[in-house]
Amino acid sequence: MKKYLILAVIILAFVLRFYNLGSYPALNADEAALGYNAYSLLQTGKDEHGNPWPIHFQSFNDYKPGLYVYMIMPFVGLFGLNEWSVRVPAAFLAVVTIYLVYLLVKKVGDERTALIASLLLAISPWHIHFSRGGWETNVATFFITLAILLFLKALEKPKYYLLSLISFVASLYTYHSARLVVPVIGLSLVLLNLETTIKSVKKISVAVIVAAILCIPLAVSFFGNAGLSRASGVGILADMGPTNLANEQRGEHDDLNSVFVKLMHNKAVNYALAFGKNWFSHFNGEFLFLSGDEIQRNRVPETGQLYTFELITVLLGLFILLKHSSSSKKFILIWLLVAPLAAALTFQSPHALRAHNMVIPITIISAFGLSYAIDLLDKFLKKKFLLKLSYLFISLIVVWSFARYMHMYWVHMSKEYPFSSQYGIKELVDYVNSQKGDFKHIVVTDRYDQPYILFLFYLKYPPSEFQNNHQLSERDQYGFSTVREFDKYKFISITNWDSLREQFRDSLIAGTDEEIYQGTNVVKRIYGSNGYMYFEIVRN
Amino acid sequence: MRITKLLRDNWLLVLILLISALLRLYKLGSIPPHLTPDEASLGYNAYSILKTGKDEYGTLLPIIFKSFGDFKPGLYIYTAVPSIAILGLNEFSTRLPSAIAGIVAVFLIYKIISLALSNKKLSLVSAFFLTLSPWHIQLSRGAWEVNLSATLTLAGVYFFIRSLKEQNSLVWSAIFFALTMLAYQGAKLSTAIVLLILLLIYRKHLFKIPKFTIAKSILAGAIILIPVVLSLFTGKAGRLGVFSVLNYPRPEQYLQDFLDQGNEKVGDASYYLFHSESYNFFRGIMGRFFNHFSAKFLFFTGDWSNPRHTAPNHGVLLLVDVLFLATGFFALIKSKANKFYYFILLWLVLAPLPAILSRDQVHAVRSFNMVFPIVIICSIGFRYILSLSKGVKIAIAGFSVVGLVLSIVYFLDAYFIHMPVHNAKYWEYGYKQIVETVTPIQNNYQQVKVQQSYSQPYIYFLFYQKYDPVAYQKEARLKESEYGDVGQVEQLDNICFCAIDWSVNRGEKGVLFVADPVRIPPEDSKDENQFSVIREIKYPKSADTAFRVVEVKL
Repeated sequence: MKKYLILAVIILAFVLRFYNLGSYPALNADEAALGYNAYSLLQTGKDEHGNPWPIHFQSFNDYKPGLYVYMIMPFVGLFGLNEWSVRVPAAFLAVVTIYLVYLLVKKVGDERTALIASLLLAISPWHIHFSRGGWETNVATFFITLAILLFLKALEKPKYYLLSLISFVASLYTYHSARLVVPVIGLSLVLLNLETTIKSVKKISVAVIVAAILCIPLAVSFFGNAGLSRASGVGILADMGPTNLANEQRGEHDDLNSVFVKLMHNKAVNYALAFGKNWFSHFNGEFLFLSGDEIQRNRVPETGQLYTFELITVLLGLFILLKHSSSSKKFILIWLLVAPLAAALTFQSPHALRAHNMVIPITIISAFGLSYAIDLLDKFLKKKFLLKLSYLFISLIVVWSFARYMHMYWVHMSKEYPFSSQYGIKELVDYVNSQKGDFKHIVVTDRYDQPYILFLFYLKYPPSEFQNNHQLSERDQYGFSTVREFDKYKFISITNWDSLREQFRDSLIAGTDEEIYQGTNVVKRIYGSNGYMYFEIVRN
Repeated sequence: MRITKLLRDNWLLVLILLISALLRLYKLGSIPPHLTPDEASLGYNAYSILKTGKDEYGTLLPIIFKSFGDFKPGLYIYTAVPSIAILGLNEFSTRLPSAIAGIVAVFLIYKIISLALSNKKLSLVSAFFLTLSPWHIQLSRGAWEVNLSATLTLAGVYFFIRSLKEQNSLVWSAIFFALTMLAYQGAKLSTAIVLLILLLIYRKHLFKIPKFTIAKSILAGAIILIPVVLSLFTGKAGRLGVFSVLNYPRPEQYLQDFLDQGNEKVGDASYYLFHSESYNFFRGIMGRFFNHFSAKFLFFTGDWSNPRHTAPNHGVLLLVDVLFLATGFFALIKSKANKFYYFILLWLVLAPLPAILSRDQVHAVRSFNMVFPIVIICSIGFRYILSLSKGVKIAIAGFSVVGLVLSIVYFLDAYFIHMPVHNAKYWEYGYKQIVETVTPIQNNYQQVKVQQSYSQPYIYFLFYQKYDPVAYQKEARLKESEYGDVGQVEQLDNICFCAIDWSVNRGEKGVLFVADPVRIPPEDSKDENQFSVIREIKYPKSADTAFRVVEVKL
């Protein structure tokens, strides 16, 4: 019976993650980059910019950690370059993660809690959102969960230490934030179980050495220029706020150059406070239970990272885990505290994407809470009828919350946030491609994120031709670069309509309705799959 | 003899009370940097009562006072009468009752914990933590009615818990709870919350109390509450309509656009299931609830909706309280169930209710009662840490003590150094300076025009000129707001409080003008033949001008 239940949960998880996976939401620029780089590697052994077999992909000069690109290569090879190939590995590993969580909770707690945890994760807004797309973070979370499960197994059978560490290393190759979170997680696993781990010092040492060797290429690439550049772009130190505040605060003292004032108000203190504020923001109820991440791409309208009812189950779960804690239960709590560390070091906080691995411990805690709530009901409600009624009530709340989320996700998300993903570009490329023979240039606005990569992706433009015939622009203030032209295509800011027309004769121009001068003869309007009008096209 | 013995046995408590007095009285007249309109109004009405027995509108000894936009219970005004009688009408004497209430609260917390948990060390720690609480210091320093009301609430709680053993104390409990509602508008809800929790948790004990004692208590409370109850029926119960979050539904266009995305309509099944107005209110209320438990409010930014309620860049708690709060909860979870703990936890959860039902995103005054359960939980955490005694744990204890000292220094710096400068604008800085400048030369002009605003300039003239209440009561006239919100006074002797439009007013010869630099642009008042700039009132340590006093020459 129980076997069927977990099977049912996995089927549910599968359906929720694979239904319309290729078409909703629209492909975004990062996913297109992953896909096109895999395509480029397959065809030429080099990435889009001509770097052979990279560990970090230069892409928009953001140097993406590369493991996921290698993971989608076989799919691009087998099924061609399309949305589905880019997304299937992530979605599949997300489903596997749910089974891993089931096994993990069974080790830490009991079968019923394990089932509840896998069910809650299967329907989790946070987990579903980043399962449906080529999100590296979701794959990193898979590796971290797998590594932790293997570590707990290794406490009984030490041969698993090596596998556990390899899985940890894999997460480092997949996503930036893992590089800070994973060492802390690993260390706390060892220290929490010191009595057991100390007995297998040899096996662990071997595993650590192997892991260290596996990390060498990553370290070389990271300190080469790849990872650091990214970290300095989004890192907390890139925000000048705390520095300016320190100066302002000193100015409010009479003796602004005294040692006391300098000790009170300096960068170290203010950045530490900023970090603390960021870290805590990941535990804010508004973020967790009500509205979620502020970045549109990472959110669903009026939906928290968790369901609102989980406020109660998470609190109950924390209570019961603290009340009767074993070392493995303590670990769940430590994981929860450690998970947002990397995200807190960047200046957009709270950040559902960078703190994604939080979803696992918090869902497990929520499951412990729900399980405990059921225990409480069993204990206090003596009448069968009342008990059944309360079960029904809980189920109704869960089902309703889930239904509301589904409604928001499928009906409202793409329309409420039309710029959360690159809607409309596929349609634009289809049209432009059919017309391009007649024109000297195709001019496209750069209003929407990185249009060049989506053009490459949908055109399946030959990588060998692209690699040597394009220029990556200077970094913008956020550290990103883009490509302004290849082949007939130009991606520019449309500011002065008249001079633009003068400049590009015999061209097809695609801009937003605000950019295209009113009264110009528009030959075609391009709508995204959400019904929003993204481009107006003019024959010049 | 008895006194010295009492001091010797309780020297720590005495020391704590002395510290709390120091923190609440030091520079009370000048920090916060300026009186708020509400403070000035409380002070002037107390002065008016002192001199004439009537309030500014000439009502004899009111219990519910007419204020700028509403009616509010006036116990604070009566507590300020003696201090104004002795010290004269000034900032210090107006703020003194709240400061004293703050010191009494420290004593009451000590008494409550001693009584409820019979733990002398813990009760001292609680008193010490309340003494140092930024939230409590903030609202003890300033004529905050809520602080008086909160202290009365503590007295009510104290006598309630005492009544479990000495049943007659219940009468005192009832009296103090009833008095809270005479002290503060919002106490109607916040005291009801405390009462409900107490009744719920201690219901079994209450059944043992003789019916006669209960009847006496109810009667005592009811008599005190008569004016409050009457006010509910005569429309003198405050601006609930303006404040309630339930009066702010989603804009129709916003809702329509959202529903259109799914071809939904108001009245559809999916509207009632997923988009109903009541669920939207629920979300709004929950959001406010979370705000009051967010680290941003508690530790880092403070009350971001009302900067006047906290020191700049500082939360309502000490930074180190992060640690004590967490360990406090941990210790509570690990300890055996105890009725008083349930009371504390429930109070903590429900105390922000008055704030979350109102329109502001976060509100440190309406949620003020939270400070007491938080302080108690922090104390439990601190005690727990200090009771750890081995190895690493000593290090943790040492770390907490150092952290406590550093956090206190950081807060005192934020409050005493930064707030007077950084937040001067939010404290309406400048009106005192206006009155000081205008008063000596007021009669040289036919007319003085002062920029009208919801900062109620007239009340500062009454306050700082110590305007004769008998004379003012005759001419007092508040122009009511059209929207049921705050009203304004437009004329006082030759001073007119009115909108200033420099393009028109610049030609009014022989008139003295007072307004901010937006209303009287410096570029357009340079000509010394036409204008004479009497004074530029600057914010403290700032190049920014708060107000300009400019004469248009004859």
